[in-house]
Amino acid sequence: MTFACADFERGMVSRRSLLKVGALGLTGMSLPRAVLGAEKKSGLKARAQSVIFLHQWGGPSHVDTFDMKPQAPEAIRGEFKPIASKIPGIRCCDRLPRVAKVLDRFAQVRSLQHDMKNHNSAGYYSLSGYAPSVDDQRLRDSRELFPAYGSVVDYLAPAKAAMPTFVAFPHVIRDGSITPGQQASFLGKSYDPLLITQDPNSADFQLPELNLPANLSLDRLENRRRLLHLIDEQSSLLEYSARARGVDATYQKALTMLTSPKMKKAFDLAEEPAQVRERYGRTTYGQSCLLARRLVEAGARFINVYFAAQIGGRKNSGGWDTHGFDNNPMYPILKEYLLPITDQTLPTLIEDLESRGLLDSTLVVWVGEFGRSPKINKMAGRDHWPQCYTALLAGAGIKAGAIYGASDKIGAYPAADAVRPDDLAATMYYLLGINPHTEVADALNRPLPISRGNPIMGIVS
Amino acid sequence: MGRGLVEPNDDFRASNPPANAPLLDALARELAEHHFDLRHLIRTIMTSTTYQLSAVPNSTNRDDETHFSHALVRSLPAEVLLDALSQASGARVRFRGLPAGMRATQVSGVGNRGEKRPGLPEQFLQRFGKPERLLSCDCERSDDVTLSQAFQLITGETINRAASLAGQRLSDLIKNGTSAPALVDDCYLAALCRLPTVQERSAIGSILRTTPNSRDALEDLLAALLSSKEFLLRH
Repeated sequence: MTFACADFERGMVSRRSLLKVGALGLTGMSLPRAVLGAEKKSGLKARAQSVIFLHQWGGPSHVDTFDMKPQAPEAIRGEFKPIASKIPGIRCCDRLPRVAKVLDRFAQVRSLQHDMKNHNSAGYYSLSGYAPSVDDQRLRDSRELFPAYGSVVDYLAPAKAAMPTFVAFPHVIRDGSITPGQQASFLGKSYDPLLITQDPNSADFQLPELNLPANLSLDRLENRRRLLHLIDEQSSLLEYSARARGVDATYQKALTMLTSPKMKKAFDLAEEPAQVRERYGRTTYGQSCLLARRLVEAGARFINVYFAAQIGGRKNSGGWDTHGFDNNPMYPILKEYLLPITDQTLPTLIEDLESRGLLDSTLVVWVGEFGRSPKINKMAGRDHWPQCYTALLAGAGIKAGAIYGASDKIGAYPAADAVRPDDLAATMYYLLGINPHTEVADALNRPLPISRGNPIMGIVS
Repeated sequence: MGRGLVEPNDDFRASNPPANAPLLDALARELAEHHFDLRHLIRTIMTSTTYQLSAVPNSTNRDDETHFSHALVRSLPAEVLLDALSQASGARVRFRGLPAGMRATQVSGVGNRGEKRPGLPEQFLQRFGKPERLLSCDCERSDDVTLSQAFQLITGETINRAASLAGQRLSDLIKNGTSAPALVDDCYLAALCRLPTVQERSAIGSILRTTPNSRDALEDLLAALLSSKEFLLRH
C-alpha cells in the first residue's frame, strides 16, 4: 500500500513491531486487549476535532441530486434539470439552489460502490465501514459485527472528560429490525453512543438523564456522593476488583457530566435565538442538525444524525427510499419533502459552522447507505443502487470543491476511482488523527483493523 | 463462586474444557449416587474447604479467574438488581400490564405490552442489561458497565422513588419514637447484610443530628446505600 501523504506512512505501525511488545507478559496464545491499544498514539495530525455524520437513511438518488445526467435518455435523467453551482463547471439539482451556493465548500466522492442491496446490511456497512458477510435484510446486531464509527473513536481517542464522545440522535433507525452499526458491539456497552430519542424540535426537549428530580439539589447530590464514598471505603472492593473500579469511574463520569454547565448548555436548545432555529427549519431533522452544531461546540467528537427513523418512500415522511411503492411516485416526495429539507438544513449547518469558526475543525459527512437506480422503474421511482453513489464531505482537512471519482454516462457504475465505504471510514479516522489500520480486538480476541480501506487522499487537502 | 466449572455453564464442548475436570466428574458421580438430590450437592459444595476460603483476593491469587481461589466480583443481573432494590427499600415497582407484587425475575417476555414506550421499571431493566431476546444466545445479556446505568443511579426515577418512599417511611417511624440508630442499622442490614461500621455510625449520626430535615438525610443515605458497590455487585 502506498499513500500520497508521507506523514500517514510514518504513522503506520507494522504488526511485527506490535508483536514484539513482549514485556507486557502475554499469557497463552491470546493478546490482552490493552496491548492492541498500544497503537493509540498514531503520530497522525488530527485535522478534525469532531465529525458530524449526516446519515441519509433510505438511500438518496445520486442522479437526482449531485451526479446528474442531463444528456441521458429521459427514462434515466428524470424530471429535474441541473443548475450551476458555486463551483465552475459543476452542477447540481435545480431543487437544491441553496446547496448549490455552498457547494464549493464540499468535496464530492461520486464513485462509492459496494454489494449490499438491503437497507440493514447496507446501513450497517455505511455506519461501521465493515461489509457484513451476507447481504441479508434480517442482519441482527450482535457482537460478531463491527462497532459504529463513534464507538471506535470513543475507544481510541475519546473526548475530554465531562462530554460524551459519541452521540447519536434523534432515533434508533430500523427497517423492520434495528439496523446494526449504531452501537459499540464487541468494544463493550461503555462505548455505546449517548442516544437521544427525544425530538429536538419539541418544546420540552431535554435529556432525561440530565434532569435532576424536583426535590434534589446539587448540594444533596454532593451529600449522596460523600455518603457513597464513605460506604465504599468500608470494603476493599475498589482495591481488588476492576469491575468495582469501573462502576466507580462511570459514576464519577456521570456526576461530572451532570454538574457540567457545558453539557447542560449543549442540550438547551431553547437558548438558541428563534431565527437560528427557524433557519435550520422547525423539523426534527433540522433541529437535530442544530443540536449537532451545539454538541460540536461542547466538545463531542462523533455525532450521528439520522435523517429519519424509517426508510420512507411513502408520502412525505421517513427517509429517501423512494421506490414508488403503493402509488407513491418518487418526484413529488423529492420535490415536496426530501429536497426542500436538504436545501434548508445542509447549507444552514455549513454556514453556521463556518461563521462560528468551527468548520476548519469539524468534518461534515453527508451520505446514505446506497444510491438509487439510474433507470426509473415502472412505479415512477428508483430502486436501491449500491453499485455507484455519491457522498459529500466538508470541513476539516477536506479539499473544498474537489470531485473525486466519476460515474459512467448514466450513473450506473464508477467510471474511475471506485471506492468503498471502508475507504470513507478510513478517511474519517485519518482526518481525526487515528491511524485507520489501528487494530482492535473483537469478541474472540482477534485483531481487526478499524478500517480495511484506505483514506481517499484525493479529497484531503 | 462466581463462575461454573464450565463457563458459560451451558457451553459444554471440547474446546471449552472445565476448570477442573476430575472435580466435575467427582461432583457428577456424587450427585448421581445420591439420587440426584440437589440439596445434598449444594451442601457438599458449601461445606467444602474451597467454599470457606476468603472471598477477598491476596497477592498470590489476585489474577486467578479460573480456579475458585477467591470470589469473582460480578454485576447483579438487571432483574435481580431491581428486585433487590425493591426489597431493600420496601418500594415495590409496578410492571405495566402485570399484577402488583410481581417481581422483575418473574416478568416474562420482552416488549412494551401495548404501549409505545417502555415504562420506567422496564427502562431500568433495559439499561442494566436485560436483553431484547433477538438472538438465541445467553451472550446477548450484557454485563458491561455503562453511563446510562450510572445516570439511572443518580437521576433515575426508579432509585429516587425507592429512596423517597423509604425515606418517608423511616422519617415517620422516627417521629413516632423509634430510635434513629436502630433504623439506620435496619437499613444497612436490608441493603448490605451487615451493620454499619463505627466510622459509618458516627458520620451518619452527626448528619442526622445536624440536618434540619431528617427525611432528606434518610433519603440520601438510602440512595447512597442502593448505589454503593457492595449493593450493586455480587461479591
